[in-house]
Amino acid sequence: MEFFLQIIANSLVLGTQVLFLALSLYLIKAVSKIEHVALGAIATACGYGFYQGLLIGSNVMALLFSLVVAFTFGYLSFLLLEKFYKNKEPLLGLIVSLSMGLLIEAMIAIVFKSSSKSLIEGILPIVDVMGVKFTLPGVYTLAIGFVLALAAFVLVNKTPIGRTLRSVSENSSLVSSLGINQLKIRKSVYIISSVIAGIVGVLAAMNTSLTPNMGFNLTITAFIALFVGGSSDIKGTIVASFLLSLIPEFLINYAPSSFEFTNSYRMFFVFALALIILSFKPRGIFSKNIRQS
Amino acid sequence: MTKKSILKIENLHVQLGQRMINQDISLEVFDGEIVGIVGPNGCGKTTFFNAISGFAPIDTGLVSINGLEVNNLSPSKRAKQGLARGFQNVGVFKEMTLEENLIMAVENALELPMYWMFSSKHKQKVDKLVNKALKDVELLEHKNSLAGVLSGGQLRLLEMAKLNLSNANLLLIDEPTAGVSPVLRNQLADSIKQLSQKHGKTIVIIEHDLKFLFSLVDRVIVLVDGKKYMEGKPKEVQNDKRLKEVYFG
Amino acid sequence: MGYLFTVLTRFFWATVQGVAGQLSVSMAGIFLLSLSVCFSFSAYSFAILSKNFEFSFWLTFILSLGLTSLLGFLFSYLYTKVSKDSFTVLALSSILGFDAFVKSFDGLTGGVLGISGILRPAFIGKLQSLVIFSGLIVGIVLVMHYLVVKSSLGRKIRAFKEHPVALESLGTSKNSVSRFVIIWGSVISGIAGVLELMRLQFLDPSFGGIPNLILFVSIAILALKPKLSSVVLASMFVVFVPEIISFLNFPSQFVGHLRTIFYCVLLIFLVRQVSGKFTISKREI
Repeated sequence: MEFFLQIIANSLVLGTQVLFLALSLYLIKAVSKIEHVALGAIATACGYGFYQGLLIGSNVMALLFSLVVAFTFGYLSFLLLEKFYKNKEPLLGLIVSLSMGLLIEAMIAIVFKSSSKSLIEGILPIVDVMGVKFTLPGVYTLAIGFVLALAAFVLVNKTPIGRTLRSVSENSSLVSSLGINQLKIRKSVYIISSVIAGIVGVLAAMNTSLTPNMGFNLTITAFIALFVGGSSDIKGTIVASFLLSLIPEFLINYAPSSFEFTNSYRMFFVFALALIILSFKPRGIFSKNIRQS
Repeated sequence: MTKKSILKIENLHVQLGQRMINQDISLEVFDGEIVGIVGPNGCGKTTFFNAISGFAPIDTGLVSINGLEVNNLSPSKRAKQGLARGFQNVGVFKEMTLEENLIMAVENALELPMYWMFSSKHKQKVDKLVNKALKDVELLEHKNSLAGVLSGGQLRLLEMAKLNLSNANLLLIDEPTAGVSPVLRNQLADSIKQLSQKHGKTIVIIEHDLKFLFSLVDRVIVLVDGKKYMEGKPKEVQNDKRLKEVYFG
Repeated sequence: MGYLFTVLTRFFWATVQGVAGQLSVSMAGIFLLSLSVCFSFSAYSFAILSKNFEFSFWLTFILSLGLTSLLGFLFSYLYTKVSKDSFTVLALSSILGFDAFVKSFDGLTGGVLGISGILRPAFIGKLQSLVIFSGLIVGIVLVMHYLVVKSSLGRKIRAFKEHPVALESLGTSKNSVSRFVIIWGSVISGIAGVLELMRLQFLDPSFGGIPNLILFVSIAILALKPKLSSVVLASMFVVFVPEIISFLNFPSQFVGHLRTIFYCVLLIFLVRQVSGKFTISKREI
């Protein structure tokens, strides 16, 4: 029973990390219809910013560094994807974002080298909750993730801000004609998404270690969660983020002994799951049929 | 002599999402007829065409083209049964030349072999057909230009030329005068008349320009809220008070 | 000379991969990001077949391409089932999925250590012969691509990208067009994978992957016009320019990342240049 609960706990932490990135992807997709794959690299960059801040001074310096990195890359993403790249074909935007992400990872590898770095030296502090063990960064992840998911759900679905976000990507000229500065909204969303990605970058790095391409796997999982959940449905994104962490975790730990699934099978399971779900529900698990115009 | 039924629709229902777009529409179009479909915006005219041509799923009801039930056929298979379609947003490939656009219609119509462009016999036949079709719509001089450079009206004429070259005997034309100047409208009307009188096509047209439509068609069907509101000859429909209510309130 | 031959073989397989990219991305508007998976899959199939069976080179080659075409068929089925965006995501994530598969099923694939000692047949034993062989294969692929581009099939592929509904209304099934593009593109990528495998004679999970993805996407976007010359010139640019750049005196830490940086910067600028001329296949009416 304890083992079962521990699996759930680990999946919850991983699922929350995926959720952070999926929410960031969701927000950007909501305003500009682009799949901003570079968010994973931005998360990694913020992790390295935090690391650099720790090397120089204190935790406060580290937080400041990672915030500056998040703001900078958020703004750069906005400039690149909204201003420099003018075509509104979202799939080309994906290519631009992917290139940006790879560039960021290459730069990180050049500056910091490819070897892994630790944000917390020694053994991670453990919190025991009724026999289930969480690392301290894991607890922070869950707490912040819960608040963030709730806030995002309420904001997007229940407030005028959410309506405005969605209308900006549909028809930005119309939004402007209503007196709303749609560029300012997009810029804010890019920066906020980068900050959210940065949070997961730092927390994930605390939980494991920092490597230049640690963000890519997480981004792809988040990406898949976004589509499996239904890219226009935040509730679906939240559920899918946890499903895509829980099911592979169970498969790896509870498969019959003849199968011997290791952690390296994780992405394979995520991909297979996505294939199965999207084949039956092409628009996501909570999708409704809509009229194509 | 009884005329051959080209298009038969029985109790058609089309539902998209939670909304019933077309409800219980029955209609029969005979060989050589030009039938017009009118109705206010959002009454389901284009969805009706989509259901006939296979681009919208049919809930219940039957669609037969040239005597064959086509409910379970894909759009491309329905096209092979003798149906050709014009689109509201012009079904022309703007990144291809006018010649290439018409060649695509001819290839499907004549079922040419894949290697036909290497055979001078086939090439000559295709060239002749394409040149004649372009000449008929006064677009021969733009033969090697990309279709994207044409005006809205010229694109419509190109679409008419394409429909002419298809071997379809049933044409569905969706709002042909949308975005077309008054001058070109006359040319368009002549083009449609030629398709019917000279080439024997059976035509169903959706149109908002009632004057344009009534000068062309044998019969008019009025759709309101997805249902068939009335049907009759142009003069009858034109004088009917109910039509005026529908359009002008 | 060895360096020149190496670069030439790289140019040849990049051209083949570029043909697959041009066919799917530029002509058909299908973001077939899984082409790099097909590239790797074909190479792994060849390596596994040659290690475990005593088939001749040509039989192994054909079998590996056959298996790759099956993979292409799976992707083509998926393309007709899911939305455009979902397909792109799945195609991109298939790279990671395949990487995980290769690392996990180590009994078959050698895992992280890969498969070594893949022998070339005697007629391409030397690098020079391999260059000539690769050149011939590229020539054949280019001729076949020319025939596709110039034929009615090429027109249908371009029509599919621009207005698939109008294409259907002319009597051509859009699913059959997408199926052809995806399967044929996968097979061509498979050919490129085997050519590169013949040069390296070694395989590991890093074969293909994201670097291959950005390479063929760069070529596809450079070679936007459906012409053979554009693919060949694009491949030349994408392969030779990084080689020239590598002769400049960059600090050592840049060396392993130069190609990635070059492709990414190139892509960002390329996409801006062509963005007005690029339309992706729209599948909804």
